[in-house]
Amino acid sequence: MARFLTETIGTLSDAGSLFVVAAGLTLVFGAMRVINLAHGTFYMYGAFVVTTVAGTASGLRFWVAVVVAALVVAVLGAIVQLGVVRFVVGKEPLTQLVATFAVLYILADVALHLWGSGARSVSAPLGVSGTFTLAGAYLPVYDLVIIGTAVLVGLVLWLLLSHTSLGWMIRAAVDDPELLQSGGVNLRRLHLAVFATGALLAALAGAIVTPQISVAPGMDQSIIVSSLLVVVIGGLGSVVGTAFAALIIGIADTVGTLVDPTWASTFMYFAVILVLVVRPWGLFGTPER
Amino acid sequence: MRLEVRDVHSYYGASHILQGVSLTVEPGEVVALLGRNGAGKTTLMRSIVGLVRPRAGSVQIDGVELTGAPTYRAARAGLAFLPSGRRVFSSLSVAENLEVARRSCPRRTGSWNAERIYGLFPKLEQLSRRTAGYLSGGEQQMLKIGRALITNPEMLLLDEPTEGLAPAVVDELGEWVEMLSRESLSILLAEQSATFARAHSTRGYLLEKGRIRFEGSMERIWDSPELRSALGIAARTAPEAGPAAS
Ligand SMILES: Nc1ncnc2c1ncn2[C@@H]1O[C@H](COP(=O)(O)OP(=O)(O)OP(=O)(O)O)[C@@H](O)[C@H]1O
Ligand SMILES: [Mg+2]
Repeated sequence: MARFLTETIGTLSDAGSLFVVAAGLTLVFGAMRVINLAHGTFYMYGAFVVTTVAGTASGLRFWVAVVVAALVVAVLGAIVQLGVVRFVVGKEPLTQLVATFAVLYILADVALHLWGSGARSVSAPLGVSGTFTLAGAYLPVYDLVIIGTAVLVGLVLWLLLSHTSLGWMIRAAVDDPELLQSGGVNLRRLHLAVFATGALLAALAGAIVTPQISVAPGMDQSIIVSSLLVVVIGGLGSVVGTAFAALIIGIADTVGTLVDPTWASTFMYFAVILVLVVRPWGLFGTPER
Repeated sequence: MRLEVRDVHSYYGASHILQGVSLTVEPGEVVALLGRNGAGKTTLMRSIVGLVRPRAGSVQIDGVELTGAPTYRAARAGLAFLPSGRRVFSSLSVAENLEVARRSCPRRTGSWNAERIYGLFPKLEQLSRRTAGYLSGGEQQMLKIGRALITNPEMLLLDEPTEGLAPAVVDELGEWVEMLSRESLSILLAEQSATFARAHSTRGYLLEKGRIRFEGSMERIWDSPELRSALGIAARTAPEAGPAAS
């Protein structure tokens, strides 16, 4: 039982951060039809900015660092949108992939200059560090912070998309961008807002996981792979699908690790293949018209 | 609103689609844009609102240059483009569709609001919470018109509004066009089959392979066997206003 609880909380926490990253990716894909390979870069930058701002202090300054990281990277996202992505919206997927892949590489080099190649770490702030016991299991308090963040992000996105007119506009852009544009919406402005929000979500996830990981170059590429898997099985453009898919990937990863750690990622891909065989357009996506 | 299109040339890639098209729509006028399949009617409308950038020529509304402006400007200036087919925001409800449309042109005010649109289309009010993607073709047509009207436009560009509609709905559509024109909205009406256009417009342009082949009253077009055959209307049958034959 204790083991089960530990694994469950750990899985939920992993799935939670993955959900926050992937939600940004799917939002951008849905509203702009762009697969942004540099999305993982925003995650890595979020983490790096936290290590810089929080330093070794582990009090209130950590939370300030999380907020600063999210905002700084949102601005970086806006710059990337205006400087690169804007020009590939509506172009062939290959063009988009090459362009965003280039951004990934350039920003990885910039990060190397700014933060070096070594691993950096941050300790969980007092109050949410350490463990708590539940039914005989010792559980990291910080996992609850991550799970809570993911639930909050999910709720905010749901409220935004289903209950605000800005959210309806974003969904309208998913449905028919040309119609939205001929109705009077400045689509470029909407894209800028969506892309910056996507970057913000990635950075938030990267920032919030810093106490649990070692922050180092390469984070950008590993997270983009798993978030692409999540987005594909969730159904490109669907936030609800992303939540379920993040859970599935998290569970597959945990189960795989339990069975045999060397096969963990095989389990993950197996889950992806299984979903795609049954529903090629993903859990909550719609078949391409 | 007065629309003036002057010598517009538009391309898709290397193919020269519109080869110098000029056309005007006077305030309050209903003008037909006729032409067979692939003549360039849709391309012309898309060029007017900037979804296609003309390589040469100009588009002006009330004397103000619109050429090269981003598409959203046309709508904000009061020019509503209603593309053909089932074009609504399919994942949004009817009410959300109308609200998005209204917010898209926040500064345009006038007598049209959701209430008045529901008054014109009581069916839409009953269906206001229904997801638009599940509406029937006729209902989507109403929503399409509603979405345009809620922005209080001064001119409508209607692309094949009768396409795929049941005859009874086409008749209704005709009544709405008449009503809007009485409210002095200008309308440019693109149609393949001239029957609907003839019943509701006074003047027309005949587009052929990206050029204006003829411009004049609907009677003139109708009385000329040559123009009729250019439109693919049988030469001898008595023309009747009503649903499209093709
Ligand atoms: N996106 C596109 N890319 C390339 N060519 C196009 C595109 N859209 C239209 N065309 C071509 O441009 C020409 C004019 O097409 P357009 O749609 O304007 O005609 P139309 O008069 O509206 O025809 P219809 O009555 O069938 O709607 C056609 O030859 C068509 O094949
Ligand atoms: Mg057409």
